[in-house]
Order: sequence, then structure tokens, then C-alpha cells
Amino acid sequence: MQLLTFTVAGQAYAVESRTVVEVLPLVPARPIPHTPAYVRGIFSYRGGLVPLVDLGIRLGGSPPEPRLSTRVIVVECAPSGAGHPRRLGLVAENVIAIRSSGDAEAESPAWQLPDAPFLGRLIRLRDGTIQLLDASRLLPADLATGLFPDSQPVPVPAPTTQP
Amino acid sequence: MIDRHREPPPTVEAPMPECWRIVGVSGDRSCPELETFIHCRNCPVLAEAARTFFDRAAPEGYLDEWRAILEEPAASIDSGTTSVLVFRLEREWFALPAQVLVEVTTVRPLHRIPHRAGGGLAGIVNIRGQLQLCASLHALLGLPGGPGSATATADAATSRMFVVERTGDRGLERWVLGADEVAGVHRLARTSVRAVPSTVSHAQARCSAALFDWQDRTVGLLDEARVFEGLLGMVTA
Repeated sequence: MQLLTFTVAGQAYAVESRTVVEVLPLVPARPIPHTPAYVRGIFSYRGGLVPLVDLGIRLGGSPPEPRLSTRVIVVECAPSGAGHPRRLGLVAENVIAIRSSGDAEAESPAWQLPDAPFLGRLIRLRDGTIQLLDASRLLPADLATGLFPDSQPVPVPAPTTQP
Repeated sequence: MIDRHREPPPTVEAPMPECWRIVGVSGDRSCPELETFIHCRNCPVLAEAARTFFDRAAPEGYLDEWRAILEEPAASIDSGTTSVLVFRLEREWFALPAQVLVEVTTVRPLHRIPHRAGGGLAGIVNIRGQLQLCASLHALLGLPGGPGSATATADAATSRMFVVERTGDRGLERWVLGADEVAGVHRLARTSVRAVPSTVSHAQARCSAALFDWQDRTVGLLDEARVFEGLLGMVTA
């Protein structure tokens, strides 16, 4: 398994590279009112609109430094259960390397933290430990439903029959 | 959105000597480390320089340029052409969409299955260490010959086998088919195909989707869905 690694608040994390669509520079996004601070907004992405999640705030607390290596990782995350695939932009620092999990010296089982269901298993490599992130669980269910309106089919009201 | 009130990121300290331009592969190659790393791209000095390079703030206008690029819709990959595998069975030329093609190989030894010699199942073929079912496209299209038949020896020099597969309702379907000659994969403008005339024999019309002209020959473009269904029906009958 190939992992796209990055750092958030000084710690190393990774997403599975097969979920990654593209890595972009830190493009500006349009803020959305009444969303949590970690939702930077929506940006225009190749004919569609993609929500941008700031992993710095989501995981650590402070937004990342605006350097060239701070980038947007566009991931394709299938929602749990049936539904349209969704694209999500993740802002993270040091998006410059791909590692192979085949080099892992040890792995912890997947974590089940109630407040952070997106935190996956820890992988210990020779030069540090990285933690996998599950991008499809980064947004709480109600927020995801709101930001991806097409993931819920809009019910068409049945025509009322006249007696 | 970039926070304008925040302090600018720390600037890079003294620029690193670009050793790869002086003693490395872009210079006079006199660096002793090249013995170990062969190329500067494997050297930790270059990796460290790259990391430093990316620690800069984005240049003026760079992000707005990217925003403009990303606002363009994705380029459509449908350019009005389709790729087909052109092959010959007996004296007639056919084509299958290249999407279903896995590989073209030389003719491999065919292992007949006892009591299943007749009909469309020609036998079992070893393809890259895996045993695959070989079906007769000749039989499906009502032509004489086919893999393993007596007439196949006349075209022994040009005969090929090719592997097709698709993921259909029944899961992965994979077949090895025999052709008397394979002319390769060719691009075909969608506008150049025409409908099948009603005079074409029944067995071929059932599998043909269209006709097109290719190098002074008329080639029958087969419908891959009907071919896969036909092969399965023929073999299980």
C-alpha cells in the first residue's frame, strides 16, 4: 500500500494514495458561514465544487503555515453505505513524499475513538511513526450530508390524488 | 483562504550551494558521493534542498494562477474516436473494441476437454501460467475453422490467440479466442462506421454492431456485449 504522507501540528499522518485524485497548491477557497472552523470553504475544482477541510484545525488546533509545501490533497472518499463518491480537499503541511507501508516495522490495529473516527491505525517506519487518516470520516455525518447535497436523493413528492 | 494577518513564513536562510550543478550530474561529476548514489536525485543533499525549496511562501500570483486553472472544466477525453482490435477469421475481417482486449499472444497448445470436443468450447489454454477457457469465435459467427481445427494449419504463420475480458453481471468473464491473423489495434472515427446491411448472414448480424472500411477492406465491428453473451451461451449449451 502506498501512502501519501504529510504533517499536521508536527506529527506525521498519511492517506492511502489510491484515494488521492490530485495534489494542488494551497488554492484560495470561498468561506461558508455557519460551518466549523476546520471547513475552509468551497473551491472550484475542474468543473465542480469541492469542500476544503483544514487538517491543522481538525486535528491539531492551528492552521498550517502558507508555504509551498502546504498543499491541498484532493481525495475521493466513498461515504459509508451506498452513495455517490465525494471529493474532499484536505489542507496539510509537508505534502512532499509517498511512502510504502511495506517498509513498516510495526502496525497498530485500527483505532476506534468516539470523537475522532477518522483516525486510523499507526504505522511505525524506521524514521518515525505515521498515522493513517480515513478521509471519508473527517466530516460528521450531518455536516457531510449538508456539504454533499447530491449524496442524498431528493425525494420527489408524490402527486396527490384527488378523490 | 490565506490569513493575511498572520506573520509571513520564515524566509530561507543562506541559499544552499547547488552542488549538483557544480560537482554533480549537471556539473563535472567529480563528487565522491556519486559512487554511492549514482545520481544526484538519490542523494540526501538534493532531497534536503528540495525540502528547503518548498518551505518558501508561494510566489506572487501563483495561487491565483492555479485558481484560474482549476476553474476550467476537466478536458473531455472523448475525442470522437474509438480503438478497435482488427483481426481476420478465415477470409473475413472483424474488429472488437480494444477496451475488452487483455493481450494478443502466439498460438498456445490447446488442451481439449474430453466429451466437449464439439461446439464452441475449443479447450483450455495456458496463458501466463493460468488456465483459461478458449472458445471458438469462428463457431459463434458461423464460419468454418477455428482454434485447433484442421484448417487452422493453413494460416499457422499468422494465427494468433487473444484474451478478452469484461466484468459483467456474472462477474469477471475472460475468454481466449483464436484469430487467423491479427492486424493490431487501430483508431477509428465514430463517424466512419455504418450500419450493417440486412443481407449479412444471421449468425454474424447477431454479433455485429456496425461496418467500417479499413485499408480497402470492409471490417465488421462486433458488439462486445453480444459476443460475450454468445460465447457463454454457446459453451454452456
